[in-house]
Amino acid sequence: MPASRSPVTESATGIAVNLKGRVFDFKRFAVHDGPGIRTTVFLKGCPLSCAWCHNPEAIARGSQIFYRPERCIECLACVDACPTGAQAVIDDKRIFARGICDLSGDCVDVCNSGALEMSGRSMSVEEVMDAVRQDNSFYGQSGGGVTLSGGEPLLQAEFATALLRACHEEGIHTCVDTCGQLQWSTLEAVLPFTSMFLYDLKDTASENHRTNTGVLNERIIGNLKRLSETGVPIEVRMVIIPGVNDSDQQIEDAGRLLADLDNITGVRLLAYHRMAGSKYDALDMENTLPDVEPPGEVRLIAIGKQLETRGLTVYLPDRA
Amino acid sequence: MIASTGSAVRERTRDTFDDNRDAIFRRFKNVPYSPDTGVSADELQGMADAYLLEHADQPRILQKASIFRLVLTRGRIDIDPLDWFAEKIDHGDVLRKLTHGARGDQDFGPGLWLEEAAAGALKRGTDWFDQARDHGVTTGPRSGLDLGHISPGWDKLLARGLTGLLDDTAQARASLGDDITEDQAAFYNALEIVYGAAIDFASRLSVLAEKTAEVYADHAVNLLEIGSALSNVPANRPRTFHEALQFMWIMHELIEMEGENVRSMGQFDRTLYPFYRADIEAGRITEDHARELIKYFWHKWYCGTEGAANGKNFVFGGQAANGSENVNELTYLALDAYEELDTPDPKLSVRYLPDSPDRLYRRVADLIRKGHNSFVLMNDPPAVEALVKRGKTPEDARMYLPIGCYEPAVEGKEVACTMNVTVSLAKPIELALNDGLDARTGARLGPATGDAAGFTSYDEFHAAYITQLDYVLNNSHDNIAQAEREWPRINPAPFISGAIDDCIASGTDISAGGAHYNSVGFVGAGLANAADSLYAIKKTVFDEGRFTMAEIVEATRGDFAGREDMRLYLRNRVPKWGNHAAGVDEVAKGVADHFCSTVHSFTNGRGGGCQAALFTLVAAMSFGALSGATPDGRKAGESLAPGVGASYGLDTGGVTGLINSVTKLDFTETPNGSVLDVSLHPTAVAGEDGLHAFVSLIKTFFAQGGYAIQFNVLDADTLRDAQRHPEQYASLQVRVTGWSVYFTTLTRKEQDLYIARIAHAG
Ligand code: SF4
Repeated sequence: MPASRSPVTESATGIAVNLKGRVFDFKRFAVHDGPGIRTTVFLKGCPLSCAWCHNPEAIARGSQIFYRPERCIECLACVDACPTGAQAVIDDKRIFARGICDLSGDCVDVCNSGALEMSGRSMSVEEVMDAVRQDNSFYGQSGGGVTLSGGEPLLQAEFATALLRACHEEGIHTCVDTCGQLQWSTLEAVLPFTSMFLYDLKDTASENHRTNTGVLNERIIGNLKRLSETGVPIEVRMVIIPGVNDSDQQIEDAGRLLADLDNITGVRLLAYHRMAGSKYDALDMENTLPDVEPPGEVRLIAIGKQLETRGLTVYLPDRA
Repeated sequence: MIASTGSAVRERTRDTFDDNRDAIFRRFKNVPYSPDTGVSADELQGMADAYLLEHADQPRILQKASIFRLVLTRGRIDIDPLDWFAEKIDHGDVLRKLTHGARGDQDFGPGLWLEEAAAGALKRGTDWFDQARDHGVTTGPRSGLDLGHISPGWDKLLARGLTGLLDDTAQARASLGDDITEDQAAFYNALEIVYGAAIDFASRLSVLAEKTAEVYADHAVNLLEIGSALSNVPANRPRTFHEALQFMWIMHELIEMEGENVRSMGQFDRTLYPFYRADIEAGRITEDHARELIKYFWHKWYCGTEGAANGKNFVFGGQAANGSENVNELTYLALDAYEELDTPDPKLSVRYLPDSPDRLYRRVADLIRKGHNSFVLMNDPPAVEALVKRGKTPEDARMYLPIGCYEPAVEGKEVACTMNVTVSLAKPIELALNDGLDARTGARLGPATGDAAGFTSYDEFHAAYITQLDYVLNNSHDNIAQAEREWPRINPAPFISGAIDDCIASGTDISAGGAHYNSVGFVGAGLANAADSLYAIKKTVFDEGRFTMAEIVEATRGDFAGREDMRLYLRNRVPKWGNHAAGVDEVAKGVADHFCSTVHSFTNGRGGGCQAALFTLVAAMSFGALSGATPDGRKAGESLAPGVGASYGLDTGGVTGLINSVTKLDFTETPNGSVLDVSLHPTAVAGEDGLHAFVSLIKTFFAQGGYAIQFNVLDADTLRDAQRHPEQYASLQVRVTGWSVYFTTLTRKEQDLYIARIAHAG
């Protein structure tokens, strides 16, 4: 759903503070999404549909309703509230017929158990700023700030730009965690307000990329190259999924690509995990998570070494 | 080993602390006292009983001092040939049985003189406290008399030795001349008896050490060192770092034998540094040996508690009287020793100043994330200011020691009975809803404040709550003051009194208010439940009109039976304390302000003030078990919120929101301490990024005026596995509001609560 355009109020510096976007989560005390202590703001919508996605609620642009039957106390308040009959009892069984749901959210409003939860709230720039400002002192102390993530946060381009600009004007450090599958002009628009990019590199093999994410990787890699010429610091992030994107050749290609680029602060390896399964269930989405074990430490270190031989700085997943 | 620099570096025995720790532990628990060394504990008891019969008219302080001497000069003694420190005396708790009874980890009954008072002069107050305890209104020591939170003036003791205190005594007596009262004369006589006895006792141990060295030639080095040390201390100023440690350890044991619980072992890096430094400079000690000695020394505390009961506090960092920071190389050496020791006792606190070195933050944060959960991190500016506000000089306030967990007292000048009473801030909610009656038993616990179902405004309910709370506070205060006036007849304590200003100068025992500062501690527990309940009523009944007062009263009385929908609304839909939500935070601040200012309006039975604290320790569980359902959606019997933070699982705004809420409280109004418990997932603090974030989190908490903070860095899976395989996790430490304990020693219920909290942090 694109940012809505109801009457726009501008801040003194011209930011459309009541411009609205669709936010599905805030993560406070985020410590691995850029420098220092950060608040990560998750925006809905993504142009890719990666099989290994651990935020399946991020893919669709519109709101979605999580339903977790194990929390339901069968009070039936939602059944009374539902305007379409999607929340129902059939054969003594509480069901959520998602197909006829019109996303009114009336059921969520009356569900006190937490069984029903709206993913994706419409929030204004100012509302988001209110939320992130609360932790200003933590950012100041740690050199942290705000990270926009998703989904692909720049899919809500106008909203994301206004948000980044508002942070920038208040002196809050900003990171954008992007998949790069965008028009160059979109990236260019946020550049003045973005302190650092976190750039996902999913797979250097383009066909394989399409099989697993739905798109070829040419534009992503093209944008990365172009971004690296602008001078903005970029941390590249690679989720390592055994058997999918971690062959020696794929890593070698990634190393070669990145070694040629400027302004890459480092490559952060993230270990794939399967812990998002319950989210797929709660959205009635087909669980596409590859059935492979997370990469072992030995393998991650080997990949790190391989990249380091190209002169890249590598951050391994922190072991707890 | 560093080479000798001229004078003799003592040759160490070949064995290390790690070789000996288990054997020392076993012998500590089961001491093979030799009959050659003295009379048995039973015989001592008989001699003590006979003494009391023969001297029935003597002032109690002299009765006690005389029995103290009897025990130390006649009792059996022992020295472990593997150890570097000695103290063992088979005293059979003769003195504690006489005065106020067992410590937490012992199982003999209440003390004679305390029970005499409880059944006599203090009967009314004792009955009130008993009823309050049985219904989750208050908790605390018998009759409201806290005899258990004390620290001697370690600096003064080490500087003067016991002979120095005897000199002071003679001088004070002389300067009073003919004006001396009977009480003063008895006090001075008692001091001379107990310090003389302690010096004799040290000599007995010294001789035994030398004899033992002849038998255990392999351990002659350490045994002769003990022998030499005890020929000098505690009579005189220690000549070495080892002697200083031996001095402190033997004092700890003798003060506890006399009947007080030593709850702070002082400012380690300030008090001991001169001795350590002098040894290093003279080439008498190496860093390695100093670290070994610290381990032997601290192992004693572990042997005493096994990580399962109340621990003793050593504090690091902070400032001297003139405001200069205490951190030095001994600070870091001791932290290294602590890491190697890897036990939950003793408890370490670290005091921080705004400009404390980054190394101190990083070293301690790193230890915590590695699982050394015992640390309490304290913020000096509000801690000191709070004491100044209550009448201490800035120079004295800067010399505070955390007594026990977080409750500060001025070293060597204050008898701060920090835990006379812990008051449930949540129970008055139940009483206000039930016209002063207990929801479960129907017992009348508070004044009749009216049928809450008929209340027509939030202010009316709030006023009823305050009336109920004030009733508890006033009764507690009256009864504590009464009990304190009996203290000289229950547990006079000359041995420690001489180590606290101004007892010697004024000729007055601590029990009679001889200390320079005398304070009484009121601890408020369950702030979150009180604030969340008040706010839930305000919002759902009077702002939204969603529920009626009658419904709230009925549902809480019935423990929400048939009203799960309502309970879930109250729990999940109403903003909660600890999430940086303005409305409820305002209510919490109001409750805290009222509690603190009321406590501060009281004068105690020794002429000092009463001081407020906000924390819970185990009271969160014990109060919860005895409290009915509350309008915050908490069911009857469930634990109250831990510490000063949010209810279990309800700090959904994350750790930054929790800190933002909690630091809205004015901690310069909690002179008796406070603490925030924070659970962090290990991944959040892993790696260099994580350590940086961890340190920044602590610094932000301090910069915003937070008081003290403690952490658990654990994931729920580890804990669940520990429940299934306790044998594999014997050394897993967790921190439960104040005490770092072994996880496997918790009850199943406590473990489950713990896991719920940790899972939430993940
Ligand atoms: S409102 Fe929530 S708890 Fe009640 S029946 Fe619907 S899903 Fe279940």
